[in-house]
Amino acid sequence: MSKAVFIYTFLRLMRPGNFVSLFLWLIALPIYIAWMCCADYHTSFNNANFAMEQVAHFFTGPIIPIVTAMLVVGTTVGNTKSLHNGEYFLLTFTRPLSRFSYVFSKWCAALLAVVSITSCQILCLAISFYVLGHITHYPLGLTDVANLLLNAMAGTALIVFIQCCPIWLGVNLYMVALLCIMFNPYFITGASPRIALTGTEPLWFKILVEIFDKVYPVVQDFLTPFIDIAPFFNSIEVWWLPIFSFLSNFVLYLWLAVLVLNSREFFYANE
Amino acid sequence: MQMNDSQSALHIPLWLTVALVFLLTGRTIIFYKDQSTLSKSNGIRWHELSALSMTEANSQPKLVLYSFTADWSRPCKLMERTTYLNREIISLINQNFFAIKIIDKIDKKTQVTVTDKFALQMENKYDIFNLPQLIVTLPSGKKVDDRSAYLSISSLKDFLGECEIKALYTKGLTYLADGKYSQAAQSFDSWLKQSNANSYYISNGYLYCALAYKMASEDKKAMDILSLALEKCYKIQDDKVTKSIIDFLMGRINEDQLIQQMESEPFNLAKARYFTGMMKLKNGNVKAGKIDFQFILEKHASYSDTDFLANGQLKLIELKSR
Repeated sequence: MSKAVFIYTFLRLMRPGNFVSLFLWLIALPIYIAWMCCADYHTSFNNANFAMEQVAHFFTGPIIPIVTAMLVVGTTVGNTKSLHNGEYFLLTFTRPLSRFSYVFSKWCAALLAVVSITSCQILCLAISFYVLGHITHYPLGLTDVANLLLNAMAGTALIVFIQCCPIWLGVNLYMVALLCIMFNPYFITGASPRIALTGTEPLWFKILVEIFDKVYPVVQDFLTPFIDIAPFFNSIEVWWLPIFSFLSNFVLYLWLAVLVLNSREFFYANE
Repeated sequence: MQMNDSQSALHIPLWLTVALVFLLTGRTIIFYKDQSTLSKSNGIRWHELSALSMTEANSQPKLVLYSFTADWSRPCKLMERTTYLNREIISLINQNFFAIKIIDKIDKKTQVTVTDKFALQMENKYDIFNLPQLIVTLPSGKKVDDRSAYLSISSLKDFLGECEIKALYTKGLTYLADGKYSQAAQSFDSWLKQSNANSYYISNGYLYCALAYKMASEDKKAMDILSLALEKCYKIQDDKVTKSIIDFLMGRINEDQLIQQMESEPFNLAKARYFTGMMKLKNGNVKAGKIDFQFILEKHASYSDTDFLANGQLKLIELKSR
């Protein structure tokens, strides 16, 4: 790992331009979500606990970490234009650095920032719920903390990979990934499109539905950096697929990030 | 790490590539092994939906848990492989519920969902709009609560726990509709002691409990419950409807004043007419009470508690008149 790249990436988070979005993301979003859940006429006592649990899962799931990672990593990976011409960094990067070391340092810095930000968000959220919703117990446990760490790890790796891609590809991948995550069956009931078929549709439509039905889950599996480890404890049978899917996705993102950087014209002095 | 030439900077560590190949291979093998349909033989004792299992469900004392699933639904499969494999969930369901699973399947030739006729009846009865959907009912079939979409272990545990408490409220309603007032009062009373449900149900629980005590001629207990309700419900929210009905049951306002206060909102009016109808029944004015219950069913026309209770009273009146 390159310490310079690590420190530089982390410090870039603190630039003044990020303060507004950081404030909104860190404090305003949790308060707003807590307020929305608790302002409901019928929500009090155990309902607030249930809402808190659902929202906490939302924060430890993949959406918040990858959006936060976007804020942290932002334009700092694989730049083709320089934003700062500081001589210190120019000197730091004049000697060749392994692409893997570069990607790994960026990932480490982004992970640290994402975990710090998301932890603060969850703390703000808990305080807001306590003040607004009369929660009687704190619903986050050790598994939620582990989920936060794991999902932040993989989510950040996905963003580092996306940022290494050319802009046109990166933007498209980011949009598809967000779509895949939002329509993940863990979070919503993603019914198969087959349910809508009545049997009278033309053949081409059935084929289209069949292709979508087969291809979309595969794309979704590869672009959803998510795992919930709670089901693996106290289970009568371990389901290995999500473990392998999660780990292979995580390693794949880092591997692809290095591969893409290798194939691009890239030089570190841009940083 | 700093490199001497630019070529070595392009190097991808071998361990990373090996790890990736291993994980992707493992993932592919597990994925193809994992393509079976929903299993029925995991730790939970699921019953198949049939006339026999329904009769068995009706004749046993446990709550009935219906799980509506489909073999094409990914969230259903996820629940099958995660939540339903948890030891706590398995013992909770096996000990406290009579579990019935209803599985929609896809016809391989037509690619259309095939639902058994009996299952279709149940789906219509319980208004199934989403899969997976869980419905908890009393053995008699009266719905206690439902939840749809993928439920994690903690969410399902919370839901089943809530259902066990909420069943007391639903039992109270059933007793009230059947004219078993003492049992209804006891049921509501124990529900009020155990529940920390939201204020809407709490205020209704107090009202029905007081009404049941009144109908069972335990006026002192009814007044105690009403005083407690005034103290608690009025603090929780500015609940004018509950307050007016409490005033009516305590004799502070008469029927006309209550109706006048509720007239602007049909839902509240229907609720108020149920209480006025019951008081008329208590005072022996069955004919006037019947008019109130008929009014609720004609004007209200929805699947609320008030409709259920009014319907029950009408049936009772009809039975007694025979």
